[in-house]
Amino acid sequence: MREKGPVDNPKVSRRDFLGWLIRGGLFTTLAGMAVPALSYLWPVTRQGPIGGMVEVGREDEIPVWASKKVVLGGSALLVVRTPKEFKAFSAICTHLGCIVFWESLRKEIACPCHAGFFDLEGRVSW
Amino acid sequence: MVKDTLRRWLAERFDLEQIKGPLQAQIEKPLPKNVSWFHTFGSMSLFLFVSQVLTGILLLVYYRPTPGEAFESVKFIMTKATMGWLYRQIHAWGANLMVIIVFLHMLRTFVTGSYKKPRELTWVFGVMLFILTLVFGFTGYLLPWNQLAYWATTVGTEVAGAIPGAGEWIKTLLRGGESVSGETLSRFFVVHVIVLPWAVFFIVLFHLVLVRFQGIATLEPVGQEKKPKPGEGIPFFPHHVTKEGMVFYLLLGLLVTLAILAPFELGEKADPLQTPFAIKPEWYFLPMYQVIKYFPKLVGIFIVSLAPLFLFIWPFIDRSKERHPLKRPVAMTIGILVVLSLLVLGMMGYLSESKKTCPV
Repeated sequence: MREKGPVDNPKVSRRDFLGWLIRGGLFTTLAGMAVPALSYLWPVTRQGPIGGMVEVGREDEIPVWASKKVVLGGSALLVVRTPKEFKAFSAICTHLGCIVFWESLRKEIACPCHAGFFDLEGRVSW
Repeated sequence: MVKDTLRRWLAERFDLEQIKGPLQAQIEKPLPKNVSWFHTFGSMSLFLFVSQVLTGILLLVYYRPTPGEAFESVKFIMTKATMGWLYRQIHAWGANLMVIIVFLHMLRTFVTGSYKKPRELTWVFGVMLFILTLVFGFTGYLLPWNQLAYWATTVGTEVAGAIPGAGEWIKTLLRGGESVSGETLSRFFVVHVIVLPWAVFFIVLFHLVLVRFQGIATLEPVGQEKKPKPGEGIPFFPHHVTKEGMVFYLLLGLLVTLAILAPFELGEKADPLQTPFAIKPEWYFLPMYQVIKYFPKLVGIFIVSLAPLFLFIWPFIDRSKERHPLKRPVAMTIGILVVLSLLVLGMMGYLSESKKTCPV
């Protein structure tokens, strides 16, 4: 076998070229395997919001100034009944994702994780 | 008799003399004179890792990683399976002790300046192992699927979610969905029992090969180290190995004692609609948690994520030649300040729990 050196091509020898080709091929193969594997790891989540009317309970289930937690579209909600109306909030605290509850003595929504309070408009009150 | 037959059988097939030489050299390799009891933290960490693997295998026999069964299966292990309570408690205590011991091992390496040239890579692998130990703790904590586990994981992954840019993506990937659920349990389970053990195994292997290959650091400045000649120093076997044997028995005694006298309670089964009061992460995440509580969320996360980065690049920042702690006032001051702030922040995080009663 005759050694093909830089004589044929002073820039890239045939050996170097084949080396790069093999390395490139191996890299492409691995990348080609990694991409589907990574997308496999991505969770299958529901797309888009839940629409329309959903029944979450009967009116007499929740007395005035009391509350009920319901799960809607995989997400927890807090329904509070005031003398005038029913109000619904996301029950997931904006701070660290804990589930808030209705503190009926204070008439406010409370977070058990950071002792934070929210008023009936959902604003931070304490 | 049997031993001779076995030796002959092997000698007919393998070149035993060739294997024997390097093996003998490893066993008899003298360690420098400064090797002390503090140098057993590394092997103690390894001992705990092996203990975690063995008790982990036993727990896996009955454990089931689904929201419907996880809690009940851990309860079964603790109440019905023969000696199951002991293995679960040793596993739980072992995890806590491992965090402490690995940290102490790192602290010893820091104080004796052993991370300096030529051992920077051993330190880098060591930092990886420390971080993986924490990830082990984080993923394992969820598996019993009790209230504390569920909400500590919710809060922990929520913190990851606040990272600018990739936060939401990381959170969803970790949780396997929008909230902590059965998908999260599956993911954490796979990471805890397959990915992490093997990752740690291989990194420990690299770490140990480097330690044996480069030898234990002395307190002499970089470039002036004198390797102990044969006959000098402390022989690895039996001198240092005896020391290690002693600390292993101490650890074993400590594990069993703690398992019996201070068992971890299982508590209540996870309820995704009811966050218990005063939820907080495991004690080793408390300093981090406190920083995040103190500073605006983003600044807090920035500080917390800088810490491991600093640990990784520390040997490349501190390039002074001295190793003796008394000759490195700046490094020592930084080290003491870091340890103190971890303790103070941790205590504050621990105590803040009692103040979180509802101010009605």
